Amino acid sequence: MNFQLTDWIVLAVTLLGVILYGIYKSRTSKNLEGYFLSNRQMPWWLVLLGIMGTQASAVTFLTAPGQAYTDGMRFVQYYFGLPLAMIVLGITFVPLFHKLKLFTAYEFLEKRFDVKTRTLTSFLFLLSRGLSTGISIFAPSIVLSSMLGWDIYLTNIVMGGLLIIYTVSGGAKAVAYTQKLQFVIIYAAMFVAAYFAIKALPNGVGFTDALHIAGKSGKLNVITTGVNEHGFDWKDRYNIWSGLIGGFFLALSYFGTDQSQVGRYLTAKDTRESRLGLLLNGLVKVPLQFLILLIGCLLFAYYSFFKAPAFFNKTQETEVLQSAYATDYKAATAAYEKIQQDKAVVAKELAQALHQKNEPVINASRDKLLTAEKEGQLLRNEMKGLIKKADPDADTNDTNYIFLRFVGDTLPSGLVGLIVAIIFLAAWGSIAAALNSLASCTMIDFHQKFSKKKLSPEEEYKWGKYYTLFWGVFCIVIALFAYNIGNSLIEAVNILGSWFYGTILGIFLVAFYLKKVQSNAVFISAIIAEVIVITVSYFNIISFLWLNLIGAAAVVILSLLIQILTGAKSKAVQ
Amino acid sequence: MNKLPGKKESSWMSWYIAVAAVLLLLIILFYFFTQQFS
Repeated sequence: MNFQLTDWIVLAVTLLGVILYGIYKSRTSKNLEGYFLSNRQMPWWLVLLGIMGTQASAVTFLTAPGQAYTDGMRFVQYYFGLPLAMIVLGITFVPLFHKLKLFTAYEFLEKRFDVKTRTLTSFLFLLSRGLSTGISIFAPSIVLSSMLGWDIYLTNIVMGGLLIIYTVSGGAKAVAYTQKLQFVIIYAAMFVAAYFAIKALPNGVGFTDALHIAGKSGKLNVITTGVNEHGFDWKDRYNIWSGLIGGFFLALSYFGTDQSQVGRYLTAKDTRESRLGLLLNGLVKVPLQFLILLIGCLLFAYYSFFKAPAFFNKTQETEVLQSAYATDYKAATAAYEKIQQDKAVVAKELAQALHQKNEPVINASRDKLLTAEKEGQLLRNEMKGLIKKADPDADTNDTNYIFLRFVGDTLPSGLVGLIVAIIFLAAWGSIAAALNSLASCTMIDFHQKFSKKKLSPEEEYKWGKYYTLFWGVFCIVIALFAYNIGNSLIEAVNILGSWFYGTILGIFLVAFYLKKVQSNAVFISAIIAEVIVITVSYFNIISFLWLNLIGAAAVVILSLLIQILTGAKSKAVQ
Repeated sequence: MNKLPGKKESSWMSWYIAVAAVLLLLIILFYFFTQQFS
């Protein structure tokens, strides 16, 4: 990827602008309420942008177009449960969290149950969020370093280090204001990229033609049922049911019990502002994600006419071409290129037939495109097998490289720099919120809770800053380790997250809705539920989205049973 | 801005219904979108 001087200037100016803006907005009162919650003064629109900026990491903008390119748009169904979760949060979680004037979601668990439930849940959050934030630094860094030839250690440090400047100095307020700026830049740049994807199509081929080409190749599969000839496929990751049900529990867990999100809407002035932020997130998230995925389909249409790389990660490709499998790989590449050439002819025929409304040719083109797509996928799988044989530790998933490869191949100088900048900004938005929430949990749930020394508000404020810095350094260290350990660490962290989410949600659901259940019943249920989730995950009998439902349901049902069997009295929060 | 709901729980019901309705509408639109271009 050619990164010119103009790109460097655009990248540097954009990143520096955001850092300076963050520092400028970092003045806040020197106590924990000011540092972690912006004095609870944020309007709904900043809450909304904060929620969206925290959820959308760098990988979101890299993965989504690539996901649509390889697997189609069905990934959008993953977000279908989110609006419904926003409604439940608005009704139950938000009013109670505001009423209790919480700093962290886990404080509520002590008020409702006991200190051990609070400490355990907060610890699980610190563990999984600390590790996953390290990976969210590493994942975009490895893509940029691989495509631009940058040093991976330096990229990790810039990706996870520069944001520490404004996150440490300004806390939640700086995080919120920079997320606002990041949002504007990111979405503006993505729409520019979409415009160039349409502009790069051959003469006479427009936006609708591009949609037809992607659609007839099976890429506009926005709604899928997950049902095949054997019935419902529980391992199918993205379909309307896993999205609505599994996605609902995932979103409820993420937005209701993950401090990186709870910390965003606790900064709101009151319940009304929090609710508005969450509900508007429910309204706009699905259409925005649809548009980002649509970019991937436009890339697919573009590469139907022009030479598409068989494998988008050049580094891995170079490695296999220097191995004993080079001849096999070259043969597969040649076969893939032949399919691509034939596909380009069919795509042109289809575009013409669409203009002439020639149904027989349209139908014939559809069949040819679908066959070409299947054959292409088989060859890509064969190539991935060869890459894995050449290097067993190789990453054969090139989804994250597709969008950037297109950017490098087709966008003019300057815009390439802007797209690289938005990868940094998207990463910063979610990492900054994560650091702020990790620091608030460490300070509130551990330091303040267990320290015998009474601190003044200024001392607490200072400790808040120290903890933010500590977590920033910790996450960078994890990112550096991820490079040395490789895919096994990334997979482990991803699995770790899906193991705990459902159980933590189950604990909160019991706290809210089963007033008679006591701490011991919920604690034992959580441990049993965890064993069930890990067993189900280990034997890989169901897609990961369902694990959230299993974990939450297990805690709710078991705690109710244990409570009935033990028959103890309750301690409900008033 | 003055038309936005306030602290009363009942005034939020229309918002909750609107969010669910928009989701339903989107799913229907996506279904026809899938059919239209396949």
